[in-house]
Amino acid sequence: MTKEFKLKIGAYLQDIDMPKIFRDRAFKIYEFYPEICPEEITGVFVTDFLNKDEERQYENLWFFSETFCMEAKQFITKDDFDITPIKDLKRYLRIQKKDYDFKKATEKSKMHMSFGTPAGVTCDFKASKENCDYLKQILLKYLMPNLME
Amino acid sequence: MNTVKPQNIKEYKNWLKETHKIEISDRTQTYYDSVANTIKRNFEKSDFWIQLTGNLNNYSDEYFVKTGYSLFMPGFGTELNIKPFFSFLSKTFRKNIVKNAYWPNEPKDGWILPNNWYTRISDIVRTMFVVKFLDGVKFMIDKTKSVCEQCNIEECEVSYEAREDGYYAVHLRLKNEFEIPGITWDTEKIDVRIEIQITTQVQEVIRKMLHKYYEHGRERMRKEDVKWQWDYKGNEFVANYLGHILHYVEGMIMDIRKRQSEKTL
Repeated sequence: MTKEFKLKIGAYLQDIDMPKIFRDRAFKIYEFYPEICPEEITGVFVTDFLNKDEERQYENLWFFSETFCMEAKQFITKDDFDITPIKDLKRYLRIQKKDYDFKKATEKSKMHMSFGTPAGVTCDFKASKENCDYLKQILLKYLMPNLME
Repeated sequence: MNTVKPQNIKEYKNWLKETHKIEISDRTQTYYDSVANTIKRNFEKSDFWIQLTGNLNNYSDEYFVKTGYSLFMPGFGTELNIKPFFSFLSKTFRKNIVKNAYWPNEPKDGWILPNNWYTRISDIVRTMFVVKFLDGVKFMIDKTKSVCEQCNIEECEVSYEAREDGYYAVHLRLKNEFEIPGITWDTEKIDVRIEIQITTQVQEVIRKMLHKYYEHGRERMRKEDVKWQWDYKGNEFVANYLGHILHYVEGMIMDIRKRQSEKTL
Protein backbone atom coordinates (compact mmCIF):
# COMPACT_ATOMS: atom_id res chain seq x y z
CA MET A 1 0.00 0.00 0.00
CA THR A 2 1.68 3.19 -1.05
CA LYS A 3 0.82 6.62 0.21
CA GLU A 4 1.02 7.86 -3.35
CA PHE A 5 -1.55 5.38 -4.57
CA LYS A 6 -3.86 6.16 -1.68
CA LEU A 7 -3.74 9.81 -2.69
CA LYS A 8 -4.52 8.75 -6.24
CA ILE A 9 -7.54 6.75 -5.04
CA GLY A 10 -8.77 9.72 -2.99
CA ALA A 11 -8.42 12.14 -5.89
CA TYR A 12 -10.18 9.80 -8.32
CA LEU A 13 -13.09 9.08 -5.99
CA GLN A 14 -13.62 12.76 -5.33
CA ASP A 15 -13.49 13.46 -9.03
CA ILE A 16 -16.42 11.10 -9.56
CA ASP A 17 -18.35 12.84 -6.75
CA MET A 18 -18.24 9.93 -4.33
CA PRO A 19 -19.53 10.86 -0.85
CA LYS A 20 -17.04 10.54 1.99
CA ILE A 21 -18.78 7.59 3.62
CA PHE A 22 -18.44 5.57 0.40
CA ARG A 23 -14.84 6.71 -0.07
CA ASP A 24 -14.03 5.45 3.44
CA ARG A 25 -15.56 2.14 2.46
CA ALA A 26 -13.41 2.01 -0.69
CA PHE A 27 -10.26 2.64 1.34
CA LYS A 28 -11.22 -0.10 3.74
CA ILE A 29 -11.50 -2.52 0.82
CA TYR A 30 -8.19 -1.35 -0.57
CA GLU A 31 -6.56 -2.43 2.70
CA PHE A 32 -7.77 -5.97 2.05
CA TYR A 33 -6.52 -6.57 -1.45
CA PRO A 34 -2.72 -6.31 -0.89
CA GLU A 35 -3.20 -9.35 1.40
CA ILE A 36 -4.09 -11.51 -1.58
CA CYS A 37 -2.66 -9.80 -4.63
CA PRO A 38 0.97 -10.81 -5.28
CA GLU A 39 1.67 -7.65 -7.26
CA GLU A 40 1.60 -3.99 -6.43
CA ILE A 41 -1.86 -2.52 -6.97
CA THR A 42 -1.61 0.54 -9.17
CA GLY A 43 -5.05 1.03 -10.71
CA VAL A 44 -8.52 1.73 -9.36
CA PHE A 45 -11.93 2.09 -10.98
CA VAL A 46 -15.54 2.30 -9.79
CA THR A 47 -18.35 1.33 -12.14
CA ASP A 48 -21.16 3.84 -12.11
CA PHE A 49 -24.31 4.79 -13.96
CA LEU A 50 -26.81 7.64 -13.78
CA ASN A 51 -30.41 7.15 -12.73
CA LYS A 52 -33.32 9.03 -14.30
CA ASP A 53 -32.67 11.97 -11.97
CA GLU A 54 -29.08 12.09 -13.23
CA GLU A 55 -27.78 10.96 -9.84
CA ARG A 56 -24.70 8.81 -9.80
CA GLN A 57 -25.10 5.25 -8.61
CA TYR A 58 -21.91 3.37 -7.68
CA GLU A 59 -21.77 -0.35 -8.15
CA ASN A 60 -18.48 -2.25 -8.14
CA LEU A 61 -14.97 -1.29 -7.09
CA TRP A 62 -12.07 -2.57 -9.16
CA PHE A 63 -8.37 -2.65 -8.53
CA PHE A 64 -5.65 -3.48 -11.04
CA SER A 65 -2.08 -4.63 -10.91
CA GLU A 66 0.09 -5.46 -13.90
CA THR A 67 -1.49 -8.86 -14.49
CA PHE A 68 -4.46 -9.08 -12.11
CA CYS A 69 -7.80 -7.42 -11.76
CA MET A 70 -9.85 -7.47 -8.57
CA GLU A 71 -13.51 -6.76 -8.12
CA ALA A 72 -15.42 -5.82 -4.97
CA LYS A 73 -19.02 -6.36 -6.03
CA GLN A 74 -21.64 -3.95 -4.66
CA PHE A 75 -18.80 -2.65 -2.52
CA ILE A 76 -20.90 -0.13 -0.59
CA THR A 77 -23.01 -2.79 1.08
CA LYS A 78 -21.21 -6.10 0.65
CA ASP A 79 -17.89 -7.88 1.22
CA ASP A 80 -17.83 -9.91 -1.98
CA PHE A 81 -14.36 -9.94 -3.51
CA ASP A 82 -12.63 -11.72 -6.32
CA ILE A 83 -9.33 -11.65 -8.17
CA THR A 84 -8.42 -13.02 -11.56
CA PRO A 85 -5.44 -12.85 -13.93
CA ILE A 86 -5.69 -10.59 -16.95
CA LYS A 87 -2.44 -11.67 -18.54
CA ASP A 88 -2.88 -13.08 -22.02
CA LEU A 89 -6.47 -12.02 -22.49
CA LYS A 90 -7.55 -14.18 -25.37
CA ARG A 91 -11.14 -13.37 -25.58
CA TYR A 92 -13.03 -10.61 -27.17
CA LEU A 93 -13.15 -7.14 -25.62
CA ARG A 94 -16.22 -5.07 -26.32
CA ILE A 95 -16.64 -1.31 -25.98
CA GLN A 96 -19.90 0.60 -26.33
CA LYS A 97 -20.03 4.32 -25.91
CA LYS A 98 -22.39 7.23 -26.23
CA ASP A 99 -21.55 10.95 -26.57
CA TYR A 100 -17.92 10.16 -25.95
CA ASP A 101 -15.22 10.89 -28.53
CA PHE A 102 -12.65 8.83 -26.61
CA LYS A 103 -10.62 12.00 -26.07
CA LYS A 104 -12.43 14.02 -23.42
CA ALA A 105 -15.63 13.01 -21.62
CA THR A 106 -18.55 15.38 -21.22
CA GLU A 107 -21.51 15.47 -18.87
CA LYS A 108 -23.42 13.30 -21.33
CA SER A 109 -20.71 10.68 -21.93
CA LYS A 110 -21.37 7.04 -21.23
CA MET A 111 -19.28 3.94 -21.79
CA HIS A 112 -19.65 0.22 -21.30
CA MET A 113 -16.83 -2.27 -21.65
CA SER A 114 -16.69 -6.02 -21.19
CA PHE A 115 -14.07 -8.68 -21.77
CA GLY A 116 -13.32 -12.29 -20.94
CA THR A 117 -10.32 -13.44 -18.94
CA PRO A 118 -8.26 -16.60 -19.36
CA ALA A 119 -10.09 -18.02 -16.33
CA GLY A 120 -13.37 -17.79 -18.24
CA VAL A 121 -14.69 -14.90 -16.17
CA THR A 122 -16.45 -11.98 -17.87
CA CYS A 123 -15.55 -8.56 -16.53
CA ASP A 124 -18.06 -5.77 -17.00
CA PHE A 125 -17.58 -2.02 -16.63
CA LYS A 126 -19.91 0.96 -16.80
CA ALA A 127 -18.88 4.60 -16.70
CA SER A 128 -20.64 7.92 -16.92
CA LYS A 129 -19.40 11.47 -17.40
CA GLU A 130 -15.75 12.01 -16.49
CA ASN A 131 -15.51 8.41 -15.33
CA CYS A 132 -15.36 7.46 -19.02
CA ASP A 133 -11.89 8.99 -19.23
CA TYR A 134 -10.79 6.89 -16.28
CA LEU A 135 -12.19 3.76 -17.88
CA LYS A 136 -10.30 4.58 -21.05
CA GLN A 137 -7.08 4.81 -19.01
CA ILE A 138 -7.77 1.40 -17.46
CA LEU A 139 -8.33 -0.02 -20.92
CA LEU A 140 -5.12 1.39 -22.35
CA LYS A 141 -2.87 0.75 -19.35
CA TYR A 142 -3.98 -2.68 -18.14
CA LEU A 143 -6.07 -4.42 -20.77
CA MET A 144 -4.59 -3.57 -24.16
CA PRO A 145 -1.07 -4.69 -23.16
CA ASN A 146 -2.56 -8.00 -22.05
CA LEU A 147 -4.58 -8.68 -25.17
CA MET A 148 -2.99 -11.33 -27.28
CA GLU A 149 -2.66 -10.76 -30.97
CA MET B 1 -37.89 -26.89 -30.37
CA ASN B 2 -36.00 -28.84 -27.73
CA THR B 3 -38.65 -31.07 -26.13
CA VAL B 4 -36.35 -32.93 -23.77
CA LYS B 5 -37.37 -31.76 -20.32
CA PRO B 6 -34.46 -30.50 -18.20
CA GLN B 7 -34.10 -32.55 -15.04
CA ASN B 8 -31.83 -30.26 -13.06
CA ILE B 9 -30.32 -26.78 -13.06
CA LYS B 10 -27.40 -27.76 -15.29
CA GLU B 11 -29.75 -29.10 -17.95
CA TYR B 12 -31.99 -26.06 -17.47
CA LYS B 13 -29.10 -23.72 -18.24
CA ASN B 14 -28.38 -25.72 -21.40
CA TRP B 15 -32.05 -25.54 -22.33
CA LEU B 16 -32.05 -21.75 -21.86
CA LYS B 17 -29.03 -21.49 -24.14
CA GLU B 18 -30.32 -23.81 -26.85
CA THR B 19 -33.95 -22.75 -26.85
CA HIS B 20 -33.83 -19.07 -25.94
CA LYS B 21 -30.21 -18.13 -26.71
CA ILE B 22 -29.73 -17.11 -23.07
CA GLU B 23 -26.41 -17.78 -21.41
CA ILE B 24 -26.34 -17.92 -17.62
CA SER B 25 -22.86 -16.83 -16.62
CA ASP B 26 -21.10 -15.14 -13.72
CA ARG B 27 -22.16 -11.82 -15.27
CA THR B 28 -25.79 -12.86 -15.05
CA GLN B 29 -25.33 -13.27 -11.34
CA THR B 30 -23.42 -10.01 -10.99
CA TYR B 31 -26.14 -8.15 -12.82
CA TYR B 32 -28.82 -9.86 -10.71
CA ASP B 33 -26.98 -8.76 -7.54
CA SER B 34 -26.81 -5.21 -8.87
CA VAL B 35 -30.53 -5.11 -9.64
CA ALA B 36 -31.56 -6.79 -6.40
CA ASN B 37 -29.42 -4.50 -4.27
CA THR B 38 -30.84 -1.45 -6.03
CA ILE B 39 -34.39 -2.63 -5.38
CA LYS B 40 -33.61 -3.34 -1.74
CA ARG B 41 -31.93 0.03 -1.18
CA ASN B 42 -34.83 1.92 -2.74
CA PHE B 43 -37.46 -0.06 -0.87
CA GLU B 44 -35.66 0.61 2.42
CA LYS B 45 -36.02 4.33 1.77
CA SER B 46 -39.69 4.09 0.80
CA ASP B 47 -42.47 5.71 2.82
CA PHE B 48 -44.17 2.35 3.13
CA TRP B 49 -41.20 0.58 4.75
CA ILE B 50 -40.31 3.48 7.03
CA GLN B 51 -43.88 3.76 8.21
CA LEU B 52 -44.44 0.03 8.67
CA THR B 53 -41.25 -0.59 10.61
CA GLY B 54 -41.71 2.60 12.59
CA ASN B 55 -45.12 1.39 13.76
CA LEU B 56 -44.08 -2.06 14.96
CA ASN B 57 -43.80 -1.10 18.62
CA ASN B 58 -47.26 0.44 18.47
CA TYR B 59 -48.65 -2.70 16.87
CA SER B 60 -47.05 -4.76 19.60
CA ASP B 61 -48.63 -2.60 22.30
CA GLU B 62 -52.01 -2.73 20.62
CA TYR B 63 -51.91 -6.51 20.37
CA PHE B 64 -50.87 -6.80 24.02
CA VAL B 65 -53.76 -4.64 25.14
CA LYS B 66 -56.12 -6.73 23.05
CA THR B 67 -54.86 -10.21 23.99
CA GLY B 68 -52.52 -9.96 26.97
CA TYR B 69 -49.77 -11.61 24.94
CA SER B 70 -46.74 -10.39 23.05
CA LEU B 71 -47.08 -10.07 19.31
CA PHE B 72 -43.46 -10.74 18.45
CA MET B 73 -40.63 -12.77 19.90
CA PRO B 74 -38.15 -10.89 22.10
CA GLY B 75 -35.37 -9.37 20.04
CA PHE B 76 -37.47 -9.41 16.89
CA GLY B 77 -36.02 -7.25 14.16
CA THR B 78 -36.98 -6.51 10.60
CA GLU B 79 -34.54 -7.17 7.85
CA LEU B 80 -34.92 -7.03 4.11
CA ASN B 81 -33.25 -9.99 2.45
CA ILE B 82 -32.24 -10.61 -1.11
CA LYS B 83 -33.00 -13.97 -2.63
CA PRO B 84 -29.68 -15.61 -3.56
CA PHE B 85 -29.12 -15.91 -7.27
CA PHE B 86 -29.15 -19.71 -7.23
CA SER B 87 -32.53 -19.75 -5.48
CA PHE B 88 -33.82 -17.18 -7.95
CA LEU B 89 -32.68 -19.24 -10.92
CA SER B 90 -34.11 -22.38 -9.32
CA LYS B 91 -37.45 -20.64 -9.01
CA THR B 92 -37.48 -19.81 -12.71
CA PHE B 93 -36.60 -23.47 -13.37
CA ARG B 94 -39.58 -24.62 -11.31
CA LYS B 95 -41.97 -22.22 -13.04
CA ASN B 96 -40.69 -22.74 -16.58
CA ILE B 97 -40.14 -26.47 -16.36
CA VAL B 98 -41.06 -28.47 -13.24
CA LYS B 99 -44.50 -26.99 -12.69
CA ASN B 100 -45.18 -26.09 -16.32
CA ALA B 101 -48.33 -28.02 -17.20
CA TYR B 102 -48.05 -26.90 -20.82
CA TRP B 103 -44.56 -28.26 -21.46
CA PRO B 104 -42.94 -28.20 -24.02
CA ASN B 105 -44.93 -25.05 -24.70
CA GLU B 106 -44.63 -21.95 -22.58
CA PRO B 107 -46.47 -21.74 -19.24
CA LYS B 108 -49.88 -20.07 -19.13
CA ASP B 109 -48.41 -16.59 -18.53
CA GLY B 110 -45.43 -17.08 -20.82
CA TRP B 111 -41.79 -18.01 -20.30
CA ILE B 112 -39.95 -16.37 -17.43
CA LEU B 113 -36.78 -15.01 -19.00
CA PRO B 114 -34.28 -12.23 -18.33
CA ASN B 115 -36.41 -9.66 -20.14
CA ASN B 116 -39.23 -10.09 -17.62
CA TRP B 117 -37.97 -12.18 -14.72
CA TYR B 118 -37.40 -9.32 -12.31
CA THR B 119 -41.08 -8.50 -12.63
CA ARG B 120 -42.35 -12.08 -12.72
CA ILE B 121 -40.47 -13.43 -9.69
CA SER B 122 -42.02 -11.84 -6.66
CA ASP B 123 -39.60 -12.43 -3.79
CA ILE B 124 -36.28 -11.12 -4.99
CA VAL B 125 -36.47 -8.79 -2.00
CA ARG B 126 -38.39 -10.09 0.94
CA THR B 127 -38.79 -9.92 4.64
CA MET B 128 -40.43 -12.02 7.30
CA PHE B 129 -42.47 -11.07 10.30
CA VAL B 130 -42.53 -13.82 12.90
CA VAL B 131 -45.38 -13.63 15.35
CA LYS B 132 -45.87 -15.70 18.45
CA PHE B 133 -49.44 -16.80 17.93
CA LEU B 134 -51.63 -17.73 14.99
CA ASP B 135 -53.96 -14.73 15.41
CA GLY B 136 -50.93 -12.45 15.18
CA VAL B 137 -50.74 -13.36 11.50
CA LYS B 138 -54.13 -11.83 10.68
CA PHE B 139 -53.36 -8.90 12.93
CA MET B 140 -50.18 -8.10 10.96
CA ILE B 141 -51.89 -8.63 7.62
CA ASP B 142 -54.47 -5.98 8.53
CA LYS B 143 -51.81 -3.55 9.73
CA THR B 144 -49.69 -4.04 6.63
CA LYS B 145 -52.67 -3.55 4.31
CA SER B 146 -53.55 -0.38 6.17
CA VAL B 147 -50.06 1.04 5.59
CA CYS B 148 -50.29 0.01 1.92
CA GLU B 149 -53.44 2.10 1.57
CA GLN B 150 -51.93 5.07 3.33
CA CYS B 151 -48.85 4.94 1.13
CA ASN B 152 -50.78 4.38 -2.10
CA ILE B 153 -49.16 1.05 -2.84
CA GLU B 154 -50.62 0.05 -6.17
CA GLU B 155 -51.23 -3.58 -5.37
CA CYS B 156 -51.12 -5.63 -2.20
CA GLU B 157 -51.92 -9.24 -2.89
CA VAL B 158 -52.44 -11.56 0.07
CA SER B 159 -51.88 -15.26 -0.29
CA TYR B 160 -52.62 -17.70 2.51
CA GLU B 161 -50.13 -20.47 1.85
CA ALA B 162 -51.21 -23.89 3.05
CA ARG B 163 -49.20 -26.33 1.03
CA GLU B 164 -49.24 -30.05 0.78
CA ASP B 165 -45.68 -30.13 2.04
CA GLY B 166 -46.69 -28.66 5.41
CA TYR B 167 -45.66 -25.09 4.69
CA TYR B 168 -47.95 -22.53 6.35
CA ALA B 169 -47.39 -18.80 6.04
CA VAL B 170 -49.05 -15.73 4.59
CA HIS B 171 -47.35 -13.94 1.73
CA LEU B 172 -48.15 -10.34 0.96
CA ARG B 173 -46.86 -9.17 -2.40
CA LEU B 174 -46.60 -5.43 -2.80
CA LYS B 175 -46.24 -4.11 -6.33
CA ASN B 176 -44.15 -1.00 -6.74
CA GLU B 177 -42.22 0.64 -9.51
CA PHE B 178 -38.43 0.62 -9.22
CA GLU B 179 -35.69 2.07 -11.34
CA ILE B 180 -33.08 -0.59 -11.97
CA PRO B 181 -29.71 -0.39 -13.73
CA GLY B 182 -29.60 -1.55 -17.33
CA ILE B 183 -26.99 -3.86 -18.78
CA THR B 184 -24.96 -1.04 -20.35
CA TRP B 185 -25.47 2.42 -18.85
CA ASP B 186 -29.19 3.17 -18.88
CA THR B 187 -31.77 2.54 -16.23
CA GLU B 188 -35.30 1.33 -16.68
CA LYS B 189 -38.41 1.46 -14.57
CA ILE B 190 -40.09 -1.84 -13.93
CA ASP B 191 -42.77 -3.16 -11.62
CA VAL B 192 -41.35 -5.35 -8.90
CA ARG B 193 -43.19 -7.23 -6.21
CA ILE B 194 -41.71 -7.18 -2.72
CA GLU B 195 -42.73 -10.10 -0.57
CA ILE B 196 -43.60 -9.82 3.09
CA GLN B 197 -43.96 -13.23 4.70
CA ILE B 198 -45.81 -13.57 7.96
CA THR B 199 -45.54 -16.76 9.91
CA THR B 200 -45.54 -18.06 13.46
CA GLN B 201 -42.49 -18.76 15.58
CA VAL B 202 -43.08 -22.49 15.53
CA GLN B 203 -43.39 -22.61 11.76
CA GLU B 204 -40.30 -20.49 11.41
CA VAL B 205 -38.20 -22.83 13.55
CA ILE B 206 -39.40 -25.84 11.58
CA ARG B 207 -38.82 -24.13 8.26
CA LYS B 208 -35.23 -23.32 9.14
CA MET B 209 -34.60 -26.88 10.27
CA LEU B 210 -36.22 -28.48 7.27
CA HIS B 211 -35.30 -25.94 4.63
CA LYS B 212 -32.99 -28.35 2.84
CA TYR B 213 -35.80 -30.93 2.54
CA TYR B 214 -38.20 -28.36 1.09
CA GLU B 215 -35.69 -27.11 -1.48
CA HIS B 216 -34.66 -30.58 -2.60
CA GLY B 217 -38.26 -31.71 -2.85
CA ARG B 218 -39.20 -28.73 -5.02
CA GLU B 219 -36.65 -29.37 -7.68
CA ARG B 220 -36.78 -33.13 -7.84
CA MET B 221 -38.75 -34.48 -10.73
CA ARG B 222 -40.99 -36.88 -8.82
CA LYS B 223 -41.86 -40.24 -10.33
CA GLU B 224 -45.55 -40.33 -11.11
CA ASP B 225 -46.29 -43.49 -9.14
CA VAL B 226 -44.61 -42.42 -5.86
CA LYS B 227 -46.53 -40.31 -3.38
CA TRP B 228 -44.57 -38.97 -0.42
CA GLN B 229 -47.60 -39.61 1.82
CA TRP B 230 -46.93 -43.36 1.48
CA ASP B 231 -43.15 -43.19 1.60
CA TYR B 232 -42.82 -43.27 5.38
CA LYS B 233 -39.08 -43.88 5.15
CA GLY B 234 -38.55 -40.74 3.11
CA ASN B 235 -37.45 -37.33 4.40
CA GLU B 236 -40.55 -35.69 2.99
CA PHE B 237 -42.85 -37.84 5.07
CA VAL B 238 -41.28 -36.63 8.33
CA ALA B 239 -40.81 -33.03 7.26
CA ASN B 240 -44.19 -32.48 5.64
CA TYR B 241 -46.33 -34.08 8.31
CA LEU B 242 -44.41 -32.22 11.01
CA GLY B 243 -45.41 -28.96 9.34
CA HIS B 244 -49.07 -29.97 9.26
CA ILE B 245 -49.10 -31.25 12.83
CA LEU B 246 -47.53 -28.08 14.16
CA HIS B 247 -50.04 -25.91 12.35
CA TYR B 248 -52.81 -27.92 13.99
CA VAL B 249 -51.11 -27.57 17.40
CA GLU B 250 -50.95 -23.81 16.92
CA GLY B 251 -54.67 -23.77 16.26
CA MET B 252 -55.19 -25.72 19.48
CA ILE B 253 -53.03 -23.24 21.38
CA MET B 254 -55.35 -20.48 20.20
CA ASP B 255 -58.30 -22.47 21.49
CA ILE B 256 -56.63 -22.93 24.89
CA ARG B 257 -55.83 -19.24 25.02
CA LYS B 258 -59.42 -18.39 24.30
CA ARG B 259 -60.69 -20.74 26.99
CA GLN B 260 -58.25 -19.32 29.52
CA SER B 261 -59.37 -15.85 28.67
CA GLU B 262 -63.02 -16.82 29.10
CA LYS B 263 -62.22 -18.49 32.42
CA THR B 264 -60.53 -15.30 33.61
CA LEU B 265 -63.61 -13.32 32.74
